[in-house]
Amino acid sequence: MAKKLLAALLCAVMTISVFSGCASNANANASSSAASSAAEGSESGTGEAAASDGTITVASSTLGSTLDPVDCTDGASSMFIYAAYDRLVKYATKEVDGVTYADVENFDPSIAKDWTVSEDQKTWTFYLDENAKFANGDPVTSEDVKFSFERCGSRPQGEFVFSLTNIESIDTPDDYTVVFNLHTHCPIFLQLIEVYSFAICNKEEVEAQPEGWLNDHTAGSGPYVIEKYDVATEVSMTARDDYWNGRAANDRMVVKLVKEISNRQVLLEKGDVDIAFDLPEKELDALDAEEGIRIQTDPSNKILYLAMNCQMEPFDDPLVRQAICYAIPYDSLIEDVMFNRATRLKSCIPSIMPGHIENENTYYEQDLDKAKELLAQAGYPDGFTFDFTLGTGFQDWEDAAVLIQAELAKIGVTMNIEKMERAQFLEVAGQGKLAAFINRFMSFVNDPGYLTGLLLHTDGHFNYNLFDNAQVNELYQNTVDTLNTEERLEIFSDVQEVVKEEAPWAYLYEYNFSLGLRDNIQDYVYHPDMTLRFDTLKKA
Amino acid sequence: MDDLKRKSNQQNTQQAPQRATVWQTFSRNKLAVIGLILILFWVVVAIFAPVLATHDPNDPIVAEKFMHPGEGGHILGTDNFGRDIFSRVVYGARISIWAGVISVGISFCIGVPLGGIAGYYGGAIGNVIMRVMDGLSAFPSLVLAITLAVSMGRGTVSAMVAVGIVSIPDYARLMFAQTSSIKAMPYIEAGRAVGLKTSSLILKHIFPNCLSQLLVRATLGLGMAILTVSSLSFLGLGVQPPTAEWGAMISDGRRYIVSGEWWITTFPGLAIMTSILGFNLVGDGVRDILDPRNRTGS
Repeated sequence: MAKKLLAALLCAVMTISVFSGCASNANANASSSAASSAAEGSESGTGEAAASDGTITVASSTLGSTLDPVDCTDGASSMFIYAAYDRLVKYATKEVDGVTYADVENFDPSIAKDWTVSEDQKTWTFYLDENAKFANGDPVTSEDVKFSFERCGSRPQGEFVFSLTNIESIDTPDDYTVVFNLHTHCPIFLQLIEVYSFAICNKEEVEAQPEGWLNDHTAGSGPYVIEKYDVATEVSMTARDDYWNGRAANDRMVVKLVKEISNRQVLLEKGDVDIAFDLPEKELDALDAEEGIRIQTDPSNKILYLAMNCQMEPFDDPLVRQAICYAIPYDSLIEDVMFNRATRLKSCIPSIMPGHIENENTYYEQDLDKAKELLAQAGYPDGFTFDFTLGTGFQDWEDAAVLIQAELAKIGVTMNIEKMERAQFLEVAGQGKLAAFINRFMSFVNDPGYLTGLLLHTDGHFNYNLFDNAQVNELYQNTVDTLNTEERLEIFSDVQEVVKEEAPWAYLYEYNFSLGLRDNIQDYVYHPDMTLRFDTLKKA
Repeated sequence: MDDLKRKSNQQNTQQAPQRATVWQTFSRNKLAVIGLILILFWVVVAIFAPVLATHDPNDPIVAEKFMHPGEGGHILGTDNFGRDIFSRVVYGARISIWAGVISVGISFCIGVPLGGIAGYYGGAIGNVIMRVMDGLSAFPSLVLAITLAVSMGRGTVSAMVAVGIVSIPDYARLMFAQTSSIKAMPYIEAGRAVGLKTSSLILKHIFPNCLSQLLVRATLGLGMAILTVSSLSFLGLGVQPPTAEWGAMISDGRRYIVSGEWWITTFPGLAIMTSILGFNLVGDGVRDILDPRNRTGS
């Protein structure tokens, strides 16, 4: 009998392990207990003083992969790079309804105290601030700027961003003047050089260190110094007392890895962390109503779309693509997948981007009859079957795919969902081999030319669904050739209408960026690149 | 030779009463009977899934999302898309039981011959085979299953194959040990002496004598296989959406535990629990029956 009891016990243990397996994973447990024990320690030790000891704790689902500005490709990594490095210029801020936002069309001085541009917009001259000092005390000179830009242009990841700037050569007439010579004018030059890829590194320090040193060290002049960098547990940083451009508002930042979504929520509710990223959309309203917590939700230019391969049957026929666009349950996606924390994408250019228009010529409404009619016209009266590739890592993609699949079934179209590991997905998608997939795009330069050039132009770097339209290419070339900003933006109205008609994608939604903050966290400035900036944040 | 014949005759005459005692021994073990009932329950559910299901398991009716158990005609409530949990659990039984049978079938059909060959021939061949098996079992089984499932591409089939491959060493080792000891028995020697072919020795004389042990292992293995396939689906490596599978249902529903929608994860969890419990109890019961110490008493 003892044996049977043991068997029953074993089964029970197995069952429990199934359940505990779903609740969380070992990593999240470890970090959450670390977070709570740390919070407990400081609370019991110094009582109220703990709140004002100047440490802000952040819970994040990822801590990125590198600290090297030119190798960085993800938001989490860039968050630390923005903290440890300065760029030549930085976004100005603007206030809307008492909330401060980054103003992505105007710039404040940073390392460059002033700048001028020539009549033909091909020569940019920057005058550096003599007070600017790296964390090790070295002054920031024009040589460092030249080195950082050239380094960016010579590395696989940075090269692409560098090529967008059209820089042909960089001159350094004296220690504090840098001149960029462009081969063609670049309407988004300042926006581009604000990006983390163009963070200014200390040339002398980098050259003295072995290759790869910058992956987990920094050589910047930013307001914070990275103190501990362990992407598997936490990253912490301290404010530089000698920061040349006004000390950061807070002393210390700790960003902890908390993988499980419900753990991030609980940690924020308990006050063990001050800020939490990626909270469950469904819970945001309830969290906002809770005492001590506020949720700030802002629109972003991160869009989600269902791309159809324009060179592959049956999607090579625009009628088929339009039919799919008519069959998407747009409102249900917003409501049932994103719990109203997203906005419908009503044009190929997101609504917070300059040049965005929306009218019946820029987007589709769901209309299954119309969809069936178009399918019949295209020669598929009974529908067809296609393979849909679902990149893993984002639950909302999967949810959206399931809902879309059910709607498409109603017009006779069978969508086979095949999951694919994210890394593999990016590789295969990049080769243009996928028939249909969902993808997101965040324009870190908030400009329609940037988005069009990368996603919709035939040679676009991220044109994974091989959209090839002469009219769009021509319109894009016109925007490149136009020096006048308003005329340039005007042309994008036509782009948006042509793209709707050609329907290379079904527009799904624009993400909002929601951040959970404890009430005592002040001066959070939202940036549309959805990356948290630490310099202004403080704890009351 | 006469001895051998007499022995088999004895076995024949004894078979009728022994069959009765098997059931008696088994039915005396209450837990094993409960296990058998659980298994039969899930097998029946799986077979009659289309009859039992009250709704289409994969059809999202978003207007009915997050319904409590019992609300709106949904016996076990609905998930975040308004899909009926009861129907999904019922259809999930098909996948889980299939997955268990197929993956155990794979490991049985590959592991047993390998173990048999290694055990019978021994020497270099046996060493090579068994060291490869040792190598396989050196990896934690779930980690190996994940690796295999990812490398073969996501999907139900690759999950089943992965789980099957992972448990090959279990069967191989059991068969190896049994064969090694049985081949030294006088009746095998006698068989060899009268010139029986190696293949018939292994198939007709060694294998049947190992079968009971292997069946116990396979019954227990079914439970483990169901759990591992569910675990893979939980991690997103098994079935592809929107297919109803218990592990995948738990994975989808876990986002809503904190906000109070407990039924989305609880019912598939209970399904996994009861089915595994069933196989384990039966496996244990069968082992007791086959245990010589128990048999001598009856």
